[in-house]
Amino acid sequence: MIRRQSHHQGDAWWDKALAVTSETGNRVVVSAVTRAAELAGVTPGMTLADARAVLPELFTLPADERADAAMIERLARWCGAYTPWVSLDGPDGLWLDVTGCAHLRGGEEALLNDLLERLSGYGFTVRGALADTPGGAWAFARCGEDRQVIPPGGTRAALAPLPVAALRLEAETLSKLSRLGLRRIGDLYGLSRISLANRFRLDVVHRLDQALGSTAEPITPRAHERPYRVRMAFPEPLVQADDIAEALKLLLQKLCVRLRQAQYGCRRLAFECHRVDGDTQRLEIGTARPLRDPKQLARLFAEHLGQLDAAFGFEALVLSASGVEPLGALQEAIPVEVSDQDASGGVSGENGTAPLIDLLGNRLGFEQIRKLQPVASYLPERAYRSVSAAQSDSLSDSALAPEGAAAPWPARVLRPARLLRRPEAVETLSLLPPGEPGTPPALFVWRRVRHKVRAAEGPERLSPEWWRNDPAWAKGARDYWRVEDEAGRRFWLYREGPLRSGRPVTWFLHGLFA
Amino acid sequence: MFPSKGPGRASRNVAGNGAGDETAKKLTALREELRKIERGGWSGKTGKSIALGLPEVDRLLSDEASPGLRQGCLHEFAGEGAEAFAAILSGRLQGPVLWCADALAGSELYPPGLAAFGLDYRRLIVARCRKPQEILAAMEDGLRCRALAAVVGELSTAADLTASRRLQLAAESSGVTGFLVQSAWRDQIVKGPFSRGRKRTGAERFGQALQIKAPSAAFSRWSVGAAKNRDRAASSMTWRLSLHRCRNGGSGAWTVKWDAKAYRFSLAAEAADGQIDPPAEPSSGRRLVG
Repeated sequence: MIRRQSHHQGDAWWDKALAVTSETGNRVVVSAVTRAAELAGVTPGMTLADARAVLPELFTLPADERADAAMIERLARWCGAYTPWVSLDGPDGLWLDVTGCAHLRGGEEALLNDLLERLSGYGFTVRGALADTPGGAWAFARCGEDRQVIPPGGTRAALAPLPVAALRLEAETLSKLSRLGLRRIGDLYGLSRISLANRFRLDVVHRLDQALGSTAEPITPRAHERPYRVRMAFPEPLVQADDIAEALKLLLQKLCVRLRQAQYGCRRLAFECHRVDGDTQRLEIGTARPLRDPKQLARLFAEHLGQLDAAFGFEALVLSASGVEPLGALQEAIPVEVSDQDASGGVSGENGTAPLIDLLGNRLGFEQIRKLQPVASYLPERAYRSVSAAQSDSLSDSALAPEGAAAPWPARVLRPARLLRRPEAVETLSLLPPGEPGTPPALFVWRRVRHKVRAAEGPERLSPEWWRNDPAWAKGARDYWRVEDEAGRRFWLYREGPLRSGRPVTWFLHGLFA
Repeated sequence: MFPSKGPGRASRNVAGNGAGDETAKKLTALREELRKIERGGWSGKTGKSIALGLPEVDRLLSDEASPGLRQGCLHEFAGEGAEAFAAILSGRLQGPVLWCADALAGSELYPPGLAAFGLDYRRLIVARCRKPQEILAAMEDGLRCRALAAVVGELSTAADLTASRRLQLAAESSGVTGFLVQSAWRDQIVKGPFSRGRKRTGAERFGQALQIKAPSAAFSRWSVGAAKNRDRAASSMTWRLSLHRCRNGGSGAWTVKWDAKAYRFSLAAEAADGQIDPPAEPSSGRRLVG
């Protein structure tokens, strides 16, 4: 019923001559054309070379069958507004069983007009017809007048003038029929069914019967997608926190059974509580990985249940999984224990910490739970980055640095255990004249505390990365010193930029050794 | 601290010996019983310890087959080297480590530096918390997660008795080791800019920071202060390690040196130029606290 119009991209190209091409064997064939191209003489089925000969300025696009299928699937879903009984018919057709639905739209004609008007409003080129049988509707939609409504019982008469191609026959059968001079469906009515069956196998008889309704042709509706949503209503409003928690547990069990059947796990769950006075309260949790264990999910909710304000009680609770991801069959109830051989938080450790990451992530925010990854850089503040632990699963740590490999940071240079978020300037006193190269300060004051330097090691010169425009390193190379004060505290100080005699030198504190 | 209790207990012990072997046996049996009750929920895993590698210290910490810092317990560290110590000890365990960091502190954990303590960055899960309560709650959840090896929590002040008891119970139930780290650095980072008055010298300022006297249910309490290096090189790490309290153990103070290449401790003699603060508590040797 719907003439395909793929690549719905906007309407600038709408009026231009455009063809969609597909490759069959080593030929490129035009599979669909716009109205303008059709008027210029390009028809579907032509080879691209022929089409170009007819219309040199023809613009072409390669066919994208998957996108077409997705589009027709979406249209079928949209047609659910007219009838629940929608079925796909080939790559470019839809069947709608509107039995008992027409009155909702003011009659059959009104329904058909409404449907087709809306679809053409969306930019589709559509044809449609309404008949007693699917075969009949197919025939009228493709070969008959557009927007025909065949009255009940009138199919036989209306079909008679249509070409036999309207019977959904194979090309071979069609050419045989035309050789025998049987061009219209009406021509077949007078022939004996036995001789038709003898000559053309059961094909023609069967299709004719289907079109006329003497053979039933059920259409299979698309499976209804049930959203992952479970609901519970109560005759008496729930007020007690324990009751709500118990109800949530039941809902989670129900939902998880469904998720298990579909081999899905949820990433986001919303718990909606409808209060007696019409207010709706909503709790949401997220998980670091697909999850369908009711106990773990209940634990994640447990912390937030306190936020619910029951007031006069909840009359209905709805639990819906807004984000689901495939999750294969798992043995879920196994108590995870890290084996001694498991070197550094390997696979079993990862699995074991996932519930913890979920729990903390829901409390503190998933962006606050970090894992660390090394970065190849000599600049101290760039030597690592922290990624959200919930996301780091995908980029497996072992892919970055194989298990058991040495730390990516040079072992011989000592780094502080803590790094200040931004280096802080310290007041210094040097015994040597300012600007003398290679001298650490003899005394420095950091945050009002005076530290007398007892020992110092350095300098370690770190140069900025010239390929990066980093304002923090704009002044040039830094000389880092490890200094120890009188009490044995160790600091990481640096001085930046070129040394010039007579210029005072500013020192910064960047890190703290343990 | 139980300095007053010590002598009484010891003298009774001696009296028992005098009365005969039977009394002593009975006492040992009773102590064993008590200890069993005390460790109600302990699993097999918690029988293990993390050895420091210093026989003098390890023997003090545990009187059982595996000497060292007990796993499945809460341990408190305070002082400049507290974080390093927690990192070293959790680095000696197997498995992931949850590090509950203070997101509002002026400085943050630096993984390349932690590598020197034998703690691999791949094992770290960092939870950035904004409030001390969040840190305590995250620690408790971490301590209940058996997949972890250790949980480290950065606190600016000592946890109170209730909080530390909760953490200790959680650790006992799962066998995960907990470290409460009360860093002197952190303390200064938080309070530094707001302190008024004259500029104080480092030693003066830092000496006050540690709060070891507050009651706590931790299995052991340590202070890990900075100590001068003997070899005047800032690259090696020396700490003044003092054990203030340990259940069924003793107390003492040592100067230890960390070898970042071999990942091990060694006992160091006092720095040549002396003037190291006297230990907070003179080593009283081994005492038994049933």
